[in-house]
Amino acid sequence: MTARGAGLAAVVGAGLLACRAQLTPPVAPVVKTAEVRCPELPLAEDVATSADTVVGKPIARVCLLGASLETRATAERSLQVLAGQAVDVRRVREDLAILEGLGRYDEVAAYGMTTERGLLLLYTVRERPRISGFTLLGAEGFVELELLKPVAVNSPLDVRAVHGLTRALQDRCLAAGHVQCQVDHLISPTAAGAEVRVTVQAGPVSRIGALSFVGARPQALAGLRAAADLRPGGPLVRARLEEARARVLLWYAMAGRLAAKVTLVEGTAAADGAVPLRFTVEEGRVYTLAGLHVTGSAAGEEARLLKDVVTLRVGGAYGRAAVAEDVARIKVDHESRGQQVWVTPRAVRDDARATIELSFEVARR
Amino acid sequence: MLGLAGLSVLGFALAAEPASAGPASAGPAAVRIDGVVARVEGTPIFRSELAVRVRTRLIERKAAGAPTAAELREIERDELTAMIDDLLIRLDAARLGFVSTEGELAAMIAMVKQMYGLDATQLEAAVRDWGLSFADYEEQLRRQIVAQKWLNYYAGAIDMYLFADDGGLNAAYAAERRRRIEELRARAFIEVSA
Repeated sequence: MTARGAGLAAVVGAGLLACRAQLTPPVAPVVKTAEVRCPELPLAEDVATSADTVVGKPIARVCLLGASLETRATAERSLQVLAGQAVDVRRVREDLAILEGLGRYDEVAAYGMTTERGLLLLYTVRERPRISGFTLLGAEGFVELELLKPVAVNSPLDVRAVHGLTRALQDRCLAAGHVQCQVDHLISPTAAGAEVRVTVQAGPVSRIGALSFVGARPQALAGLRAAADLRPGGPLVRARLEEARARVLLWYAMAGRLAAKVTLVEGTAAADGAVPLRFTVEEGRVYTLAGLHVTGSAAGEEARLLKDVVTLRVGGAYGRAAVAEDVARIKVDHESRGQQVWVTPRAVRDDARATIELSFEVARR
Repeated sequence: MLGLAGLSVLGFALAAEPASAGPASAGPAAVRIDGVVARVEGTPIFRSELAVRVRTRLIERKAAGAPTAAELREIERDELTAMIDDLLIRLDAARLGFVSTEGELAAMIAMVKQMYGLDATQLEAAVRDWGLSFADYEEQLRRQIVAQKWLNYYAGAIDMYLFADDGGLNAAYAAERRRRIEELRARAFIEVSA
């Protein structure tokens, strides 16, 4: 074998590499020294020896093992680490990331093999099989061509793409109100590669029926409906129900009802699929401010700040937005005097009395 | 419903045998330099990246002496779990469009210097002592910034003013982070090397 020098790939004399050399013009200096033979798979792995033993050592030859003729040339051209260089873990990892990124291999790894003629850097890959057939059942209304591109027949099989398709179909099916939707996929090996079959069992459609709020004050109903943001007649999506419950709870918290409890129960579906939804609410008391303080670097100015800057008042309702506003006001007050400060509210909560003792902790920046 | 909770063993595929499996060919044994230890939605986590995290953990617990084999396995497992969580967050944060800016990075570095009373040279030395390059450290900080934005996005329901101290607030954020990660894990396709 002969190395053609820098800038040219070596012409290799044996086996598959020779075939590749005839099929594709050599363009990258993957193999600098042709005197050391690449081993064949499978490799014997020395699990007792650390990779540190080969790091920094000069590479006699770089070998790519496990790639087919079809993918080998592209993969070899992509590699950065060359014979003659020292083993550098970061650059080897970059090469592995490049091989991964080609989308043709399910597994990539790098090994060092010490031979009498020097260190071999071995990249091993396991090639993906081709998709030999694809069947999709029951997905009418949930699928479009773009979604199916990653699983096109004759493309390399990426199990993640199949999983992604399954998940996307399930999301769309559930979002359409099929609360019992089931999507399965099956990958079967064939002589020509792999057969992929995806099945959607959508089931009946459920819709949002009448909403009720049991335990809520009448004057709260409009606010609660707006917070829940569930449109009667729209598709029933369970994930959105939990989000609606959380929004109702937040609505109460923003109004100072910090101990409010909210549960949401689905009723029995009517013949048209409408499911009544019942929010059961324990509103709890509005928390009030039992005390207000300014601590830290501004403690000496407490009286002035509480009187002239802070808008909250003892005995008033606790409100998150009002606290945020007062934090900003204290900062602005200090900035007007050329001081930059951190302001951290600290609260001591008394659930039995439904009160908050609030301190603004001020620290110079 | 199909259980989409994605934790599968890396290498599950139709080509049943990994490249290095089976009866070994004659010749010297090969030492593994690197490989993929896990994938999250197809994004690989490399053994060398895990090794860096483990090394940092071992430096942290240097006073406790060399770990036993069982302790080392536990550290590796914990760190891999944390790396998978971090990657889940990064992927979700990217989907939501969160990025870190150079200004945020500079502010973060300034905060670290102030917090530990270090100048630029001392910080660089400290980073080296941790076995990291400064570029790696900056990358870690960038990821922290993005992760914080991601958490703030989801933790909107937490009233940060209702805590008596930082401990309570941090615990609430940590609980929210855990809850969100569990949701991401339930949907993600995660492969872990056997």
